[in-house]
Amino acid sequence: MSAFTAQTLANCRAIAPELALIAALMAVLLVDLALLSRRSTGASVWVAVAGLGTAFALLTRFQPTDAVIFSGAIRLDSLALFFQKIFILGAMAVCLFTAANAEIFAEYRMGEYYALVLSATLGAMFLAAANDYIILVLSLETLSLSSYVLAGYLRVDRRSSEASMKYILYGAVASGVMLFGISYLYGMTGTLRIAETFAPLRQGTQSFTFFVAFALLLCGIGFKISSVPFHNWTPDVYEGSPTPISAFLAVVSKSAGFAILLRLVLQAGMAAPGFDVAAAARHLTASGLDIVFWILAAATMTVGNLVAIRQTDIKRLLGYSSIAHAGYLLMAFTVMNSAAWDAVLFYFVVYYLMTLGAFYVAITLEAQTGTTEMSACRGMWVASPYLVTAMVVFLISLTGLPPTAGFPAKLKLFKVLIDAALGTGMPRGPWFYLSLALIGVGNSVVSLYYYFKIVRAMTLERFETLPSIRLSVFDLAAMGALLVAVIFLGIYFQPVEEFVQTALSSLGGAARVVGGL
Amino acid sequence: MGAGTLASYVLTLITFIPLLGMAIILCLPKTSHQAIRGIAVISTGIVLALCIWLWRDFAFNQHYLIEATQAVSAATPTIQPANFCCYVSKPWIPSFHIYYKVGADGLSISLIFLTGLLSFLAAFSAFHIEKGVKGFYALYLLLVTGMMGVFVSLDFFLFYVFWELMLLPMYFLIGLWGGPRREYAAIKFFLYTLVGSVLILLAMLAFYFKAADKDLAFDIPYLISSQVFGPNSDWHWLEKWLFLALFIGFAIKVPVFPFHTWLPDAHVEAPTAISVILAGVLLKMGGYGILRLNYPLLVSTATSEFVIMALASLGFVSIVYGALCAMAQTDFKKLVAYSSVSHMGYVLLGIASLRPGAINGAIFQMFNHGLSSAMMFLLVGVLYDRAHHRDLNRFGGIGLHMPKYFALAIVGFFAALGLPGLNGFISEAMVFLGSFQNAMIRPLVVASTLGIVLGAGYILWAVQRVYLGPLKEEYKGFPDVSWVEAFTLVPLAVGCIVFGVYPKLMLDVFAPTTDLFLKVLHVSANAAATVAQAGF
Repeated sequence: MSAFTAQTLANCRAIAPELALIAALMAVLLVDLALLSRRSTGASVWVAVAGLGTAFALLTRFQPTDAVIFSGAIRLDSLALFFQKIFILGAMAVCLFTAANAEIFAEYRMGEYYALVLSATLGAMFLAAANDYIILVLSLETLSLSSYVLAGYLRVDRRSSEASMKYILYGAVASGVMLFGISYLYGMTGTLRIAETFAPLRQGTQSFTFFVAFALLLCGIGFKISSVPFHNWTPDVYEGSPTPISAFLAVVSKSAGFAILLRLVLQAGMAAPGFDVAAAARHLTASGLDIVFWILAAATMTVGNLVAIRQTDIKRLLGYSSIAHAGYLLMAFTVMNSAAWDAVLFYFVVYYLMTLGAFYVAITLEAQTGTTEMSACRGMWVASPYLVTAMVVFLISLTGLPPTAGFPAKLKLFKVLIDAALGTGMPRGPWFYLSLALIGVGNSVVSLYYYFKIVRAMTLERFETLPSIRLSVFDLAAMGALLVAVIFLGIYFQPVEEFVQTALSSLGGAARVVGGL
Repeated sequence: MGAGTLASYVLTLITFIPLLGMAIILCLPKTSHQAIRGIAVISTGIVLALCIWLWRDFAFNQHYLIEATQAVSAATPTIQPANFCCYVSKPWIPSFHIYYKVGADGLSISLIFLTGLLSFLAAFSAFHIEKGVKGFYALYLLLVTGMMGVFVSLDFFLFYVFWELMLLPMYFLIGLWGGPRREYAAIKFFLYTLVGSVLILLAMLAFYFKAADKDLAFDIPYLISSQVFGPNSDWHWLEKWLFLALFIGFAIKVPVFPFHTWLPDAHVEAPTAISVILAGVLLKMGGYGILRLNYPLLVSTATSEFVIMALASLGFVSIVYGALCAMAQTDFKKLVAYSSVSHMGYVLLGIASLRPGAINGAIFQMFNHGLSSAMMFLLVGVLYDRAHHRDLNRFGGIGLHMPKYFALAIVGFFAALGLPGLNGFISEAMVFLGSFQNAMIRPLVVASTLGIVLGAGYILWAVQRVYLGPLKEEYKGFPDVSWVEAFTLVPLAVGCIVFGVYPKLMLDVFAPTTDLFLKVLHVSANAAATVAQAGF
């Protein structure tokens, strides 16, 4: 056995969670094939969940090593482990949500569905650890292709097919543009390692072409995180897709986009063997990237929030809301220090809980009433106070009000900006950051208005017929668990903080110091 | 339980007993209305008893006052935890430096007492609600927790959490149990207040960042004593912006003209019990915030001439504009709502003048307005429950037909009018006498006395239209006040008289706090002047 083969085999131990997912993926397909009767639906979800559970268990045993494996293709650091963990939990939630609301998929075989969810998750996991552009593109495409099919999974539903078609067209263009940008970077530096393509930036020898290439790369990622101006697909796709898949796109797919964006930014300041957060911020700010992020953040949250006001469909509204949340997260990218990354990761933990909660309510509505129109929710308060209470708490959390987890999450994001404005040694003047913070709080107020349109429809508006809702035990448990988590972490958010602190360990010692507020 | 033990937990109990009541109510079946009402009354009753104990303990056990006085006479007076009775400090989220810190001084005790009293009485006045009783009282008790929490918090973060906590129950209480335009009124209230609170949030983060001792970065007494945005700081330019942010946040709640437009909608659409809480307690949170945070945290801006003039002008406009609007109303409840804008204008005028008498008057005015406006809303509610309309021009002659009700109404309305012998007179006179001493705003003070005349005008005119004149046919069948109604009105009427005849009972509670407040403002300001003269 050659040394290279031995090395590769040894490296395989480091991707054991991903291998577990691949095994589960094949098992799901085999089980589906073996049991051609409808019973396979039940079996395949358990195989998928078991695979995800195994992968998660393996992940929790890993210590972040910052090791670069497979000839530099993959970097297993604490950041990658953090995102991989939340991807798996998100995917697991989506699988369970789907199985508990099988009405949505009554006429479809579900074997491929779970296989596709697993392959999308697999793509997201590799994406979070990508260290060179080949892996970046391959994993991004794995995630995207699986998502395209999932979005159109309800084949006979015209809206679902339309969603899939739009997603493919937008996605293909975005991927193409991104590849074009990457080809320039490769041409200029002769390497596919992400960190090394930033060498001109670090040496101050970057040309105009470098910026064009980097901008094209950002376009591809902007599509994934649905940042303005690449956001147009989001509401249509969220509306047309089966609701569990909308939830998957809102949490896993979006956070995968942010994971790679975060990695790109950090790689700009790569100093072997670890990240140098300050250097990354210095190089990128010198090229004015923080201004780009300022514009993207302000535009994304403002457009997302303002357009959301006019929506009447809950899924569509949540689509615009997810655009707005991408905008809030992009605020931290204008500062790019350790505290900013701390706030971003903290936000993601909370964002998963509250978004999954809100989408779960939408899934229940779709499964039981067949629609997610707000007007169909009238009288829900009388039909199911439990469901309404849960939705109110999730929406309050999405707005960012205490005593829910959304409050500390948003507080930390604003804190990053205020600190940057008042701190010394920042590259821009105080009003650069303060103005963005003001736009951010203004947007929070706007968001309350449209989130409460849902609450208003459910509680205040008059109704003729009571909607028929029967919550299963799983519905009660899932909503209850997310509800308790959102309130408990709103009152006592130390656990999230500690979880995020471990995720920041690869960012060097300084990150630990800035933890907390 | 000894008195010492109770002292250390009383504020926590006052804050969280309503929450416990809410938890019990949520476990009760939807149909057991009597049990739900019982739990609500018992839990607010216990809270009221504790509030009375707290007030008595504070007013007669003078050691807190002595400590406060010592702090005043110290060389550099500052606000310390020692100036607060029942002080408790426990770590909450250590890595964020957030503490559970509660304490009460004269200012908060007077408002805690008011909140305890009104939340107990308003719980009774909602007995006639038959729709969604369980939801109503559960949300109501959550609201009480939020209000109490605001008045006891000494940690900025904790204060903010309670400040926001109270919005959600209020939204539903107006939106579900309100009048015809309730949906609009509820979201308008929510959005206005949220605009204010996000500004407070940004200011809070700025203080957090500049605090030298991070572990005390949310500690209100520490932030007051350190004055990080004072004239010696590099960040002094930001102070005026922070002042503006905090002031708008609190002014929306007061409400000060031009931020008052949510108030008539919310008050008119809310059910009676909630109007009582809105006018009686929620508006006071704005005044409390200005006195507790806005002024002491940003001394040099607060004592600047521009702020004195600007705030006194806003106070003047609120007084006169509110009174004129009240006079133009034909809806009885809207009249009372606009009278609140006018009466809270006195509070702002008194605070802006920075004179001891005026500030005592302003705090006392908040307390008195709590009693009289709550009473007026209850009185309107009594009438509305019988007539099912509130059109002033359609009433007439009810006074002689319902004598007990008339007697109570006269006390309530005349207290609001400022009749000598009733509580409103004392506080308004104190505000005028005190603020007149500030030569800078003297013309505004003189002009503001117009508010007294206008106030007498709209109240007497309303009394005339509703209670005097010949009795109309349609009102002949009206019964006089019921026992429950009398039970809610009489304590307030007694309060209006007692605090009008013997105001010392309440003035003594917060007078030392006011002294300390002023010393903190002036000494810091003097120090600033000295520094400026020395050429720094």
